[in-house]
Amino acid sequence: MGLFGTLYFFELRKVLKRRMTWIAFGGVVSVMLLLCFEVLMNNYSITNPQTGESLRYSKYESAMDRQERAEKWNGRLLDDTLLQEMQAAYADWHPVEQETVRDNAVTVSSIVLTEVSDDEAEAERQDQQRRAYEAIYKYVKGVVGEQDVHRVDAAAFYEHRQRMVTEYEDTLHLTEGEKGYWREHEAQVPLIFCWDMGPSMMLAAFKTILALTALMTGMVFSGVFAEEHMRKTDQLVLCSRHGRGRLYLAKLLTVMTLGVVGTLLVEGVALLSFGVLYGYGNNWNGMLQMYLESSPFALTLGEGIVILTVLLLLAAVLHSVLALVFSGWTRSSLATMSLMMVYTLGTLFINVPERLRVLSQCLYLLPAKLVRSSAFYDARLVGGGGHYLTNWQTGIILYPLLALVLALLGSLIYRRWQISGR
Amino acid sequence: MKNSGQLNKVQESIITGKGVPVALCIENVCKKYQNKTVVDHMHLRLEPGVYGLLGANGAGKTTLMRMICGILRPTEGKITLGGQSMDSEAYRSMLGYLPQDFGYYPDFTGREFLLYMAALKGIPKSRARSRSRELLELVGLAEQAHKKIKTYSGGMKQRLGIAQALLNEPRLLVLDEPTAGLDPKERVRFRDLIAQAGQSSIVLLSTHIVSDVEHIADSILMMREGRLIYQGKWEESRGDLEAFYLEQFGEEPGQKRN
Repeated sequence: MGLFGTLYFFELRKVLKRRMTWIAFGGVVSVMLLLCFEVLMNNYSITNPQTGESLRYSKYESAMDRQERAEKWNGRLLDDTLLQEMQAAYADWHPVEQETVRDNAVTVSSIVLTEVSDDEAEAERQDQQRRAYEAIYKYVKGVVGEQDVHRVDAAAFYEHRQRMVTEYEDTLHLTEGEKGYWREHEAQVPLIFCWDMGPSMMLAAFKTILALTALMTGMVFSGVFAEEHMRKTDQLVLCSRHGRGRLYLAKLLTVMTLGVVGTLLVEGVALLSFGVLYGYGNNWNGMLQMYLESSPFALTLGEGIVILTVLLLLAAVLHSVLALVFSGWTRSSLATMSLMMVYTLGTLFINVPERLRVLSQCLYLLPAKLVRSSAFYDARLVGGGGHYLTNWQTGIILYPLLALVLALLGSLIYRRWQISGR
Repeated sequence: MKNSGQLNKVQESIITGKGVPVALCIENVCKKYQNKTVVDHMHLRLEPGVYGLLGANGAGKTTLMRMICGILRPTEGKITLGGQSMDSEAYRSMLGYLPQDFGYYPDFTGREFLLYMAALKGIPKSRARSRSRELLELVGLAEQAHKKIKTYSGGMKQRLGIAQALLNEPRLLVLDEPTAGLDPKERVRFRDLIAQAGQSSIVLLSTHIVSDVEHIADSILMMREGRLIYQGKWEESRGDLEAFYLEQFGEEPGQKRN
């Protein structure tokens, strides 16, 4: 291990010895675990109107039940035959949802089934049949709506879906060039049904993982420079031979390493938790459109998760460098944490109308908007003249570049660091 | 030196302390904060030897020392050591600094702290280990070397600070109030150490304790309101240094600090 290795080792130690590091990491992992296992705490009750009997079961049981029934349809083409089967099963059925009530601090949703048959056995048979087609019913309803789900045929269904895609293209103010790109590259129909709870939960979890790890980064790296200032060790460090050059690189490498490792661990916790709860079937090659109906991206579920993981890790590098720059600029842990919190929450919750195309697209390229499953709806492209990059392709190029620019800015701030006024 | 990775032989000899003596040149150095001048156009050339820097609080001693150590940029003027600019890595390679109120890493042991500082100073690992051991012995911390710094007393921390300043065998040793927190026995030991370092290096020592300076300094530098008001050897024929110091700063002998 050379001199740089020694500096890197000591910088890692400094960060890992901070109590804040373990508080932040422990907190984020705990929150992630709670969010993953939250399904075990929520209950549903279903009331039979004829007997008045109330059957209560957990959200988890409900999800597993749904998964078991949905799995039967994996690999089936969404065509007229399947739609007709589903419509036959759902004839004469309309759900009425009652308001959610609180019971012993757990959420209970009550669903009352309106039955038409007086024959209890027949009602039970119809119910079983409906439940068998529930996954197909819900998916089709998601595209065509409540009214048409009972009568739509395959041609109308795909036309409906295509209309959703093109209407959203207009909402996003796509240029003719972009529309042309998507006509060539968009996902092909007809769709093959595929549904798996584990991967779908993982796909949905990226938004949360990104927000949690960005906040964690702010807390863990807030002291990298700020504590040197607070402890007055900066006087010794800055007048040493490598204090302004290699040390900065060692600190930079330290935050990037720990940022990536921390993010991988949080993602690992989510992956493991969903694996334990739902398992991962053999459906990674399923079309992304099974989870995001009107997405134009021609990707499989597995590809979507890999892309979001790559973006998540690049975002971790970007956020680590950003926290480092804030720490060097403000020389205050509290100010750094506040800035990271403002940045994370701001980019999560602020929205810019799509008509302000450039501003809106820039915002939606930031990690908080891009590292989430809904980013696969955003058809806005970067480029022109027939050469385009999709949002995730842009992110993969943009984040390392932004991290580099920030690292250079941080280096400039650090090199100008002066000791005065103590 | 712009290319820090390629030190020439002269620079290497300067860094290792085996070579031509170097001089510290302070040319027209000035530090201003808005309308306040803290160091006022100072010219100084220091050859190897021990220099005692005296001055009341606010005289500009610490500001001058920080500029010499390259951690505070002068408003005007330039500082060089052996021809190397204060911004350069080669300059910092020749420097040892003990700040007045320096920090430490509480979870590091004394030995780890010295190894970390050695890496920052560019000392190869094998040399760093042996040098750390020597210095820990020298400052009387060998037995506490593996204890965390947060368990050290104020005097022990000060001795550790002195050890880190000496790690790279500096050609310029800047010590800001080095004897603060040391007991009388340690102070005497420390004076010997400085006198030894002053034989081949420039030692700039700032203190309020006139007797420290009187015993070991070859030359006296006295500052008031950012200016040098006295520079040169103190000869006994001129009388008592402490009385002169108090006279310059308008204090009666009964008000003296130590």
